[in-house]
Amino acid sequence: MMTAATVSRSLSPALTRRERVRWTDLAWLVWRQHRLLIVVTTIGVAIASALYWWDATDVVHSNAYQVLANVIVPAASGLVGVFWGAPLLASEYEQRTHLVAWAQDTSPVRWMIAKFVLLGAVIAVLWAILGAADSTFIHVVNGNGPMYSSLFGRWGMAGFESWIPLQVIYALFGFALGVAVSALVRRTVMAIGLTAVLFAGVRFAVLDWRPTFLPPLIAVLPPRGPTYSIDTGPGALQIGFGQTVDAAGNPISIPFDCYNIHTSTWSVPCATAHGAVATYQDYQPASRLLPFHLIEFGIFAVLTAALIAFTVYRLRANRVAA
Amino acid sequence: MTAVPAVSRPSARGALAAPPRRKPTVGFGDLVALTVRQHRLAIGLSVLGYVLFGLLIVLSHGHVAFGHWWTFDPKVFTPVPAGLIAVFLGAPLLAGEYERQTNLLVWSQDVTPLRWLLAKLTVLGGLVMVLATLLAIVVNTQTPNGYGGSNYGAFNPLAMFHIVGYETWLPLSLAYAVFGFLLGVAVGGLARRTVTAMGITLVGFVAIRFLIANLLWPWLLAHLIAPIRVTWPIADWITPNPNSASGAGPLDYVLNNQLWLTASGQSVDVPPACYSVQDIKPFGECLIRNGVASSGEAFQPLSRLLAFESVELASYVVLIAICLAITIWSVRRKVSI
Repeated sequence: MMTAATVSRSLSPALTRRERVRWTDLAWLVWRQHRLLIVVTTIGVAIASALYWWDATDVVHSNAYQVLANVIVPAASGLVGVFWGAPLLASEYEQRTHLVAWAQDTSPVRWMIAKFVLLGAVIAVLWAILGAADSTFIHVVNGNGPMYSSLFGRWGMAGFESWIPLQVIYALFGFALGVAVSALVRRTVMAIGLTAVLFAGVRFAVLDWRPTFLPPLIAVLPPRGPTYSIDTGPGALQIGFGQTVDAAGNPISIPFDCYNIHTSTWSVPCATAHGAVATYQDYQPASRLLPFHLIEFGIFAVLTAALIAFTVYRLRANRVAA
Repeated sequence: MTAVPAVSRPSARGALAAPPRRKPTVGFGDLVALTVRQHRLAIGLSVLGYVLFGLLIVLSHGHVAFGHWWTFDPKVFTPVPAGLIAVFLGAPLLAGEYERQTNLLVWSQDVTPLRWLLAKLTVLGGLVMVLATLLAIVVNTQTPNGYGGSNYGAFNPLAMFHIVGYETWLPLSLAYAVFGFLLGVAVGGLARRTVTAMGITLVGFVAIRFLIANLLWPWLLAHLIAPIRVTWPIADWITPNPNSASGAGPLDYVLNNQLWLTASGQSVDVPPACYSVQDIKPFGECLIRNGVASSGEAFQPLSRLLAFESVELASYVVLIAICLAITIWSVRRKVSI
């Protein structure tokens, strides 16, 4: 035993003694442990951003952006949860390296906070870049006329979510979710699966809630049947297809005979002849776009903070419990 | 440095465990039983996932409402379970053994690594084949086997899903599920780290499926067998095919529904001189002035679908063989760390 120790001692550099573990030390540790993940993710973000900018130069003829904006960018923040968050604690538990890592001078909570802060900062920078590419591109699409406005318009899924702070908070939420799940499940593959399911569930639930973050305004319009066309003011979000009512305020439906296929409009005299008085249309005005962005950002920011608090609580409660 | 207190193994075993049984050989049945026991949770979750997805397809009648605003046809997600199998069942299979270093124990037993691998692939690969077959049968009862399927005509930003139509052919859906599983196993054998293997498998499976469906398949349709071309003369008026019986039927795949042909039968673009002509009759006259003699369409009849699908199937079979070869090679390196 002695000889082995002596040999290794003589080969390694002289020991340095420090009063405490500084943030730069933790940063170096985080980089050494996670450099592959950081490099691969940076390359992925760079490729996606480059594709966007390349696509934006010829938006009429390009087609990669549909997959990029509707599938890859929304999925990317989930992948952060799955590949950055979920293995972070689970693999420590699984390989039992937590017994070493958390028995050092640095407390488990400080270790965890360092990982959250340092990895979170990397994620924030990368997703700000991705979000900038996304929003630049969608700006170009919309400047080119109303192409697929239900997707890329300001209230469309890809359009609404291209706000850069939202892209950043989605990714940070994914990361915090993955870590919290792995603090609970402690098995990598299980944590990855559960994180993916929960991330998709929360994102879809908020997506569904989004049109009614605030109670919608009601526009009273001339009577007409259900229509896709938005006539609740420029830049407004139309919710549902409107409800036509008679003089007593009861909902009624207008026969399709009142619809002119050639002009895609409903005939108001025809609707009136069938007893309709008005159509109520729920909508969100254009002025609510920023408040809605802030509300969605707030929802995910609160969830992220709660997940971080939960993780820290779990670590403090369990310490080095095997 | 203090000595670890010795746990007296023999006495514990003597009191609680059954006496060891002695067997002359490890039968294949033993290996199968071991595999089932090791992977019972994964097997259970896979069966549960497929059953729930199948029920969703059958009960939804192509229309699922999610929340208040979103509806979708669950059939467009038919290729997804194979990807999940690849990532969650295939990738950790060998990578997990390497990562926990249990390969050192497992592959130094009486059973050779190849036999051990055969048992794993038989049980889990067999499971994948059964589940993929059942899913394909369920989807086939809901979708006619054709080039496009029900989602082709409508605008769909996720154009990759048009593959759902022709890939419901049972051998094809079976092949890409097995390919996904074996891709995961092969990547796990090379990467030797679970999370890395899962990530590479996810990206690789999606990329290969995307390339086959969006590059190979359109290329096959355009070049494997020359498409049928139906032409009719332009008088001074643009008309549809006057003999509709000779044209493309509703289940045929139309490659080009508006060809402009010269007298020698060569396909040309619209002459630039005619770009600004608005009405149909002057437009036809302009085309004739600029040397276009006839109009036409090009299509692949439904009867050729099997030929195209067979070539795609062959591409998956080649990929399966490659993955299998990589896996066997990686396991035969045996107990190297």
